[in-house]
Amino acid sequence: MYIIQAKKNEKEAIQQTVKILRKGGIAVVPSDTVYGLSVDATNKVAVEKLIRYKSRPPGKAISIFTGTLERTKEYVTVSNKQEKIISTMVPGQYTFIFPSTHKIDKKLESERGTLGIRVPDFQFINGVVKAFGKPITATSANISGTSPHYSIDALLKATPKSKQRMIDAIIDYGKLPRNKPSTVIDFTEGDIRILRQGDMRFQRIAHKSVKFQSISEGETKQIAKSLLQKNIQKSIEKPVVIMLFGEMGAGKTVFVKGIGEYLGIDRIISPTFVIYYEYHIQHHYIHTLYHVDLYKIEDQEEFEHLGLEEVLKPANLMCVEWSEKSEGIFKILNEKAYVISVHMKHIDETRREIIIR
Amino acid sequence: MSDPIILAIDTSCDETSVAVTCGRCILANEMYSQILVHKKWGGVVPNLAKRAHEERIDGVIETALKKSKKAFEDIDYIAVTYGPGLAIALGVGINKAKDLSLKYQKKLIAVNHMEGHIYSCFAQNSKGNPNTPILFPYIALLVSGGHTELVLFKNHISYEIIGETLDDAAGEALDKAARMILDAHVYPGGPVIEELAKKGNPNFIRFPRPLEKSKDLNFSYSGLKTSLYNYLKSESINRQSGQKAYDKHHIAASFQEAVIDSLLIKLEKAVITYKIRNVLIAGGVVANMSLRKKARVLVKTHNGKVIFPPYKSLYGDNAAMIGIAAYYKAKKGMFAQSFDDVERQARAQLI
Repeated sequence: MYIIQAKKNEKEAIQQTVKILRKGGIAVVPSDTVYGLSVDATNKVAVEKLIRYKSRPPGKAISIFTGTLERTKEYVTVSNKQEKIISTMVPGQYTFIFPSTHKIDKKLESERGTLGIRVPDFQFINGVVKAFGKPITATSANISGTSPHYSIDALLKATPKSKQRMIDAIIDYGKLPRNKPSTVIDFTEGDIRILRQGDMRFQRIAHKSVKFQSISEGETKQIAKSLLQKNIQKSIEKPVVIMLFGEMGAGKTVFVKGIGEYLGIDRIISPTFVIYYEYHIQHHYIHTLYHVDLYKIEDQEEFEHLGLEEVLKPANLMCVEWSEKSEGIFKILNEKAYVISVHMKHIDETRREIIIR
Repeated sequence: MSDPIILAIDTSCDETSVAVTCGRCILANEMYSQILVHKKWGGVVPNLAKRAHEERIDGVIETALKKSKKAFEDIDYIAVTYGPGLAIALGVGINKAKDLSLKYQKKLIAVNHMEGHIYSCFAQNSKGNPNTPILFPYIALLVSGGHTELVLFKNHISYEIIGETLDDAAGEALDKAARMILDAHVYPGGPVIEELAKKGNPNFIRFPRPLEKSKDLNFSYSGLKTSLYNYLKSESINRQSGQKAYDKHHIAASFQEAVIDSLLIKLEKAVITYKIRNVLIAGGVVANMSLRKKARVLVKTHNGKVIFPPYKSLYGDNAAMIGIAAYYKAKKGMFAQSFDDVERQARAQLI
């Protein structure tokens, strides 16, 4: 058994992990939830070894990482409607249960022939699956019935030497944030059932909301453009208001720059100082863009002097940064406008999570 | 013939300001926040007061006239800022200027807020001091909470924008940095950063100088803001694991250094590209002493001269600078031909 430090050189670590999987080995891998155990999901011998390691009762299924939503459809049967629903949650801390297409080792399936699939919000794992070209198992690294692990230290302490010898490699990613194991959603029983509640709430972000991950300003702008494209016609009847939430530097102005580019405005700058800028434009649907920033608002009564209510008319589009401070006008916006909320979050230095509701 | 007397109004954003000027001389330069501070508020102006231009403007006009010892009958022209700025606030000033123009039959002059900042460098007090000569051409660096621009100032009322910010203004970057470093809402944050920076090492952290390598003269500060965010975040993780707390002074000093450097890198590039040695710097961020010092040193190495607004009251938004710019517009006969000529333009550019 050897330990690979993945944080220093992720690419190298991905290649080493693939080597081990190819030989039918067991690897302890990090994820967006807990440390897990991965073997080649199509290798019968490796899967048997894994089940022995886990002391897993026979007939209990083990989920797999599939890398992308597209690849997922090779291993389970997903209807178009179901795909639409899960596309809003991928990648994320979810396990989805669907009927298996039996392309992986049968021991990973349940007695009913269903299979759990996972596309984690974790680059390393999706990178391994991509490089390996096959799905890998996604089961927590603890022995059945004990609690999951967030660090290699804790894992080693809790694992008897005899078990440790069965592990071929440990991919050390340091301490993982204490996220609960994934939320498990079963799609095989007609309606949608939550089998295990993790940190992710299904009801909150299903159906109407879409989650994106952006790795660049360009991508953030693209997400903004497609959002506007989908909703721009609504401005015929009602003004459209895009409310942006998210902390400093989350990319709110970049998002509005994307909106501006779609409308042919290339000189959007931050309106923080003046509170809002208006841009009169020649556009089929939108006549004026109001780029609002509530950063400087201290007193909700200030809204009485800002004249925002008066511009809530059809053919106007309003983008509101720092919508966290919009209590004073929120009700009016909801009554008079078609409101879309966009929540932006830093994931790391370059990546942002964008959830649109 | 003596110079015309101009009543000038600026309501581009937070300030309701009215001035009475005569040529380059300021007879009165009144700001609502100042009147308020003197009256009762003891230093802090509530935001709500900044929004209520409509309710304040008459009082400020009255005070300005009184201070200058002029009556409406003495005024020759009325000048007003048409943009850039907050649309509704601009509207209040413009409507008031139109009312007065109609009522007292005075010609109207529409002034761009940014040309006001440029002319603030040539302002004089009521006694005509200082008598700074105007030596065209200039490279003008306009830097405030809302703007960061490089302008080629070729001759009176003749400008060409040669560089501008693509996202946040330099003053805004300083403001937001204060909030992030102190984890508290401080406004304006620029002076807080400067104060903290005095006791810090500007070379403690090497923050990026955005667009340092780009060939153009544009600025960008949103990436710098994100670098600070990431730095503070990693620091707070280190702190949780028991390592030493970060030094706010060093961070503020390093951040301020990055902001000033990035301004001066582009200023120098402009000086070299256009072979113009006379520089003027105006706008709220001029209040930063470190910027003034470093700019002086830089321009001196190019054998040039840098000028700033001569009085502190001219750094931030004020109507006196609008009056002075209007004077040069009047000299060229640039009056509004009709009221339709004077319309608010939130994102007005210098032309």
